[in-house]
Amino acid sequence: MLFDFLRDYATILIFLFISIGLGFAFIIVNFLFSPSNPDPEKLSAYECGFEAFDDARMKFDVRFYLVAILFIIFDLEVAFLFPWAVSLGNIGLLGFWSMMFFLFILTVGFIYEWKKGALDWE
Amino acid sequence: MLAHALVFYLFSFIAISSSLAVISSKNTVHAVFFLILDFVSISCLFIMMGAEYLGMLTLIVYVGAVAVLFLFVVMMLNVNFKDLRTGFLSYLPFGLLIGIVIIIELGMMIGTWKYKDSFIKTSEIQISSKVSNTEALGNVLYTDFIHYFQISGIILLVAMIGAILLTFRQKENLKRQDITKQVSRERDDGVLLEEVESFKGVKLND
Amino acid sequence: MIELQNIFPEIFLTLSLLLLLIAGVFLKNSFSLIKKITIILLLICIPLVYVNYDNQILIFNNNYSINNFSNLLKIIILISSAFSLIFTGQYLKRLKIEKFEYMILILCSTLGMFVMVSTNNLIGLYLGIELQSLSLYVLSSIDRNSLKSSESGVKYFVLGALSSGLFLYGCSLIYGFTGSTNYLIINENFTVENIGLIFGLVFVIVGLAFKVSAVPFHMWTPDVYEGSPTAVTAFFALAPKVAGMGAFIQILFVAFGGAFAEWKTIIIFISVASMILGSVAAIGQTNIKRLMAYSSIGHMGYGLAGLATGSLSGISATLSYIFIYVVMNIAAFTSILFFSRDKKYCEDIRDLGGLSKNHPVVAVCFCIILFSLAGIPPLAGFFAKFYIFKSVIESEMYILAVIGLLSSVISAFYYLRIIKIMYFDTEQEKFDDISGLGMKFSLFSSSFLILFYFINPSFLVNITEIASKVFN
Repeated sequence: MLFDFLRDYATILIFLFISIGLGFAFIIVNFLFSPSNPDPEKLSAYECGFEAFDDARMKFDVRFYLVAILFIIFDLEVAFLFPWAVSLGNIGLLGFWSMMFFLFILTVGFIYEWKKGALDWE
Repeated sequence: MLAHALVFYLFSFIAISSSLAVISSKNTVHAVFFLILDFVSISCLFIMMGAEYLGMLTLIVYVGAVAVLFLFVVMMLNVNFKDLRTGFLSYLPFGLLIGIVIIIELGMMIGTWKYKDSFIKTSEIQISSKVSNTEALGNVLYTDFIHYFQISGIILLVAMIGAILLTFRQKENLKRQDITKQVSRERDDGVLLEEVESFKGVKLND
Repeated sequence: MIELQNIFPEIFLTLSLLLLLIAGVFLKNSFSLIKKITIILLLICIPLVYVNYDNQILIFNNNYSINNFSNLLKIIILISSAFSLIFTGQYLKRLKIEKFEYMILILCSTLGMFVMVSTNNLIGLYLGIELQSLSLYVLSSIDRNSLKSSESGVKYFVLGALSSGLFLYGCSLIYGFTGSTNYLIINENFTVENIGLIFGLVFVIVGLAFKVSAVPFHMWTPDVYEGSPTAVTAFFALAPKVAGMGAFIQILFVAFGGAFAEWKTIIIFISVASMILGSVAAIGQTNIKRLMAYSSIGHMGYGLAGLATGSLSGISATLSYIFIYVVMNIAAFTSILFFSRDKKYCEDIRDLGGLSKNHPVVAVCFCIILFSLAGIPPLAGFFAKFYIFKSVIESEMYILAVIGLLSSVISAFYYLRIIKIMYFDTEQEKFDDISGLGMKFSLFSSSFLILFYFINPSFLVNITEIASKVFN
């Protein structure tokens, strides 16, 4: 039944509540007991420092994006592997080879990107 | 039962309010963090419905990967979001209209929801203690639905090719370190010994 | 494992694309070689599909159907993919986008279209559409040095993702109300009284209408057609339209066969709107690629008119229409690729002035093609429209037929205007001589087919009638 199944997650739920409670407790306690004397000078640049000219956020090199997207693709590949590993005993040879072919397709992609130089940084 | 309902409402509340925060927060980085919170609470909802694998997958794929990507996009695009927001009021009536239409559609859908007799309700889902959710999925995904599985593989391959084709630019005249070349370098490749006769000199050809 | 031989064409395409990907990355400057091999492989695939002809089976638990209908569409798709590579000629080289991935993506897209026309399941349809469109998004922005190309890729991607979202929403409604994503079970469990199910049907139709660029979901078409490199535009105009129409027929007649009265009005509306917009909006266009975009919107309208009849003769008329549309577009885009001056490809129709004097052969061919697109007898385009109107009138939808006839008269105006420019306007400079063997072959063979179609029209009619009997 659904509820029996969810009982396994009860510890995680309790853990979640305690951690949320603790997190809030620290914030509240800090808020109540810490000294607070706000002053605009405290936030300004220190002595000889400059005021910021520009937004700190700047354009990234597109290579970061490439690495992130390649990561996602292999992440998804791994996501397919989990149920396969769990039920390998039931699905027989067909299931085994079906995953092998899937991995073969992605390995071809991997060879392609390696040879293409997409994994080199410079 | 009560605890189940309470937790369900808690997570639904977090999911809805954080998705509202995604579209209303001024700072885009905050919006991405709210998006992650939204995904986490959705995955909790999945687990509560018994779809354990789906919940974990949401965590892995969306929270891990897509959120990282979102942050990248936010930082890469360098869009001035204050300018984007100026048209907000002029788009508001149109947006509201679409929203109302969708709400009406959802209402009609729920109002006319008719299960076939053989259908089961979500709360009566039978989760066998013997076969776990992940295993049940694995039992059919790789055999009965093998063609979908392989097509997904090809879609991932296309995504890979596309990402490289559109973003990867080979830089010209770039000196790369080639380790095999370095290691296999012999003495003769670098050193040249010449007998130098006096008053004639040596002509090096390079 | 009895099933493998039935999907041999799909397996063949998969293996060849993997092999070519590896070959391409290891060989240097492999563009021309890989292109030739790809064309040959696509042509080899045609007999492989043909072997399965007259073989009507459902495989993968009734989720994949191999029958005359899907085989016919697969052959048309293969022809259009192969020709879109054959007539590209020197185009990609001159634009300096000679990347071998171009061919790999075309193969992937072709595979996705195979799945689209063969699948019997909403999930399969979605995966097919995604495989097809993902490759198309990349192809449309393949010219990274051109801002327009990148822009068109982004536009296409955003709108395509939106349409996929709508399609998936419809699928989830249908799944929720019928309990399955399989077409046959959907058809069994379909109850017309259920409004939620009708909503699902509408969303699915919207998603597919996006893919075949039917009005009112056509907004992306002119911009994407104009921005993409012309060779890619040609591919857009050919194969995806065939696959989209095939998926449309498959889902409407197999999954929603019982709800004909419900989807009939939607299809009639889409069809009428496409025909009218396709003919009226093209009048003001001066860019030939935008003009072809509106022309293809209009042609999709005629194709959908055949579906609106809901009869077998309507399906067979639509299939004939699609085939002739493909032949005409192969010819038209080949001609467009001829128009290049000083290493730049001309897209303005005023650049065609005096074509008849400088390049009489190309001018005559282009003239035939334009007459055929306008539907003037005795060319193939006339027969295509004739079949559609015949089946529409047979099912007593006279208003639809009248609107179709009127819009085809309007559309004749802009086709004939190009002919007028070619023959009577002030002479422009000569075009570069870039005609390769592939371009000549595709131009002459397709013009020949268009010109002499009337000699044996029953050949195509017989094939499409046999294919449409699948839905009996």
